[in-house]
Amino acid sequence: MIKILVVEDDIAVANLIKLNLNTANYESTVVFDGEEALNVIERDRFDLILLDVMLPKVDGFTLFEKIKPLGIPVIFLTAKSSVTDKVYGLKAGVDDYMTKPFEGIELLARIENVLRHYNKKSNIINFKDTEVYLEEMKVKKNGEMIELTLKEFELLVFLVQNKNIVLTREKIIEKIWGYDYVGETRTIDNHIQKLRKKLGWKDEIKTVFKLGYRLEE
Amino acid sequence: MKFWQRIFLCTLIIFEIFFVPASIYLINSSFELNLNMEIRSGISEQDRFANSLESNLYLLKVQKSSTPDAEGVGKPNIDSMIRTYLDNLGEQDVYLDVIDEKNEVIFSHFKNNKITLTNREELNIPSDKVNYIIRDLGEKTYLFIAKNIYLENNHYKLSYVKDISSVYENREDLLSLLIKLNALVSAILVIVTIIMSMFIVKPINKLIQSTRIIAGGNFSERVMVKSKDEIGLLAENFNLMAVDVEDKVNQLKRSSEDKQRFIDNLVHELRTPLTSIIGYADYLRTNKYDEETYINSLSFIYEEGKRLEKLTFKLMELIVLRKEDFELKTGKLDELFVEIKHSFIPKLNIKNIDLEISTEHLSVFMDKDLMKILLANLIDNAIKASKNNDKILLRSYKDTESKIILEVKDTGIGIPDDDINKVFEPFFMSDKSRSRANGGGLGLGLSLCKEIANIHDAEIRIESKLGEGTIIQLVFRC
Repeated sequence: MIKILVVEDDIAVANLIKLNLNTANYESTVVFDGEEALNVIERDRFDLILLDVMLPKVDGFTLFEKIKPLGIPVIFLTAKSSVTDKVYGLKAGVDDYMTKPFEGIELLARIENVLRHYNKKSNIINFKDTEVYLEEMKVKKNGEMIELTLKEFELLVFLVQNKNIVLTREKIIEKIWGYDYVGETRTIDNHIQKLRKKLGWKDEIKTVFKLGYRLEE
Repeated sequence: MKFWQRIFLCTLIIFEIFFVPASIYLINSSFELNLNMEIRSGISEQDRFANSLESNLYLLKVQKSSTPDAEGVGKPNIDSMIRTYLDNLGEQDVYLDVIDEKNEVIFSHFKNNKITLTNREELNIPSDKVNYIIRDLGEKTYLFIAKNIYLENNHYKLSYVKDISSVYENREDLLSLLIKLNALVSAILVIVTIIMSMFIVKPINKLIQSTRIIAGGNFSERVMVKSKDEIGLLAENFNLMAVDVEDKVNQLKRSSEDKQRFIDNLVHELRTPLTSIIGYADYLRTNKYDEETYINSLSFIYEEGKRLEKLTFKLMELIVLRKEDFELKTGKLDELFVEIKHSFIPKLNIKNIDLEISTEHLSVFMDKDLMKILLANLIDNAIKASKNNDKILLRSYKDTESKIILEVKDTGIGIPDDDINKVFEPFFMSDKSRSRANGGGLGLGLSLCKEIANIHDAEIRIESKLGEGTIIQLVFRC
């Protein structure tokens, strides 16, 4: 189990983050101020820290300077979207930076990225009888290679990484085809159909009315 | 044109106007004088020669009469007498020349001295007059004086010629000396004015440097000129101006920093509830959830929405306070206190807090609605800070300077010293997590109070001890 520390003074936001982390099977601890965070870090081992900048008692940047030597990956969460803050954060050696309001999916994707950097995530994702090799871009079902196009593979990875979460069509377009993609959502539906066929996931990839698709375990 | 150049030009022009013409006039008059002297001495010299010739003639006549064969003195005798006599004379620069009535040259120094003449109008001499003329011959200038002499009824013309070049040369020399002198004086004048103006301009240059620095945006620069003259005064005034500008600029900076902080905080205050609302809604629509998660998420969405609503209203109040002109009327504080206490009864009952009122029946200039908002905020804060069964004191009185004071006193948790100065800043919360838990403070209450105090031309004072309580006073300036 990967353990994540959430340092966030707003109860609603902290709770929301916790919910999202739980869906992705991360274990999470929530603290509400910088002092408490320091205490918890001394007692316990964490794989990643989500850190709010505006904190009571000890602010995020100060706290970061203190925990830097530990080498724990840190993602800043903040409402401060000013450029200077971002530059400061990234210069100080923060792994990533997210501004509020953020979406659960984006948060999980960034956590995933940072963890992979630190080799805390394996490059193979298992789903039922299927193995997805992220580095080699290969997919095996029951040990047999499945041939996929690049876009199909990317879509598969996106689904597997966010299993049990609905992926809306907008999010899929944004992630796989990029912001400026002007196409019909039919393209997405076609790709989903192909994946269902090639992997035999007729029931696993559920269509959610009006929203998009969900990969169910 | 530079300052020293101007001074130099002025003095030079004055100098040239007065000194040069005066010098030229002097040189000319001394020249005239010399020339006249030469002419007069020439005429008297010539007289001397003429007289000597006459006395020689007399001697000749005596000589002739003593000889036995006296036959009188003839023209040839006289001619040779003139020749022999004049031959022995002849000074430096003086040439003589004698012709008879037939214009035959009897004697002349001219040939040897290369004086050649074609036209000699001075020889037309009226009987008892002397004629003179000044001629330039080649490089030199000569004075010609012609005179009639009669020797034994023989008519001769005696010319006395003198080289007077030196008189003219003298004048030329003086004039060229004047030009040199003029150049020298101008040079000295340049040096003197440069040095002089350096002394004058030095403080001005200092002033210029300082003004440049100030104009470049460094408003804390001051001019260091210590003198009692006009420049010192200018520097002093300039410094006063710089002080004024610096104050204004700092004021502007402060107010723009305040605004920036306000905006930063506002953005933060807006984003946090938005994050929750959007996040929970997104979570609910994309995940499978159980009943508890569902209710919790919806509660968060609802609460954060209410929070945004509250924030919007508070901001509206702040904006209105900054914009409107309020009409202040005399109002009784007693009434105000009673009304406020009444509206707080439910809140007071929750914590079983006693709100005690004491007044001295005072009246102040106020806008009653605004004062209610102010008091409500202060009492609200006091209730939040208090424990159950505490007491809050609301009173008005006149202090020793007979200023009217309105006071809210609690025995609650107090404010840390570090935070005391920040409590009036918009969005500042001394204990964020607690105030959030305590029914969602925004950190705008006291900044509202401050605005309202400003409208009433009153001052807010705050005194607090951690763990002992807080006293907030509104001091009316009347």
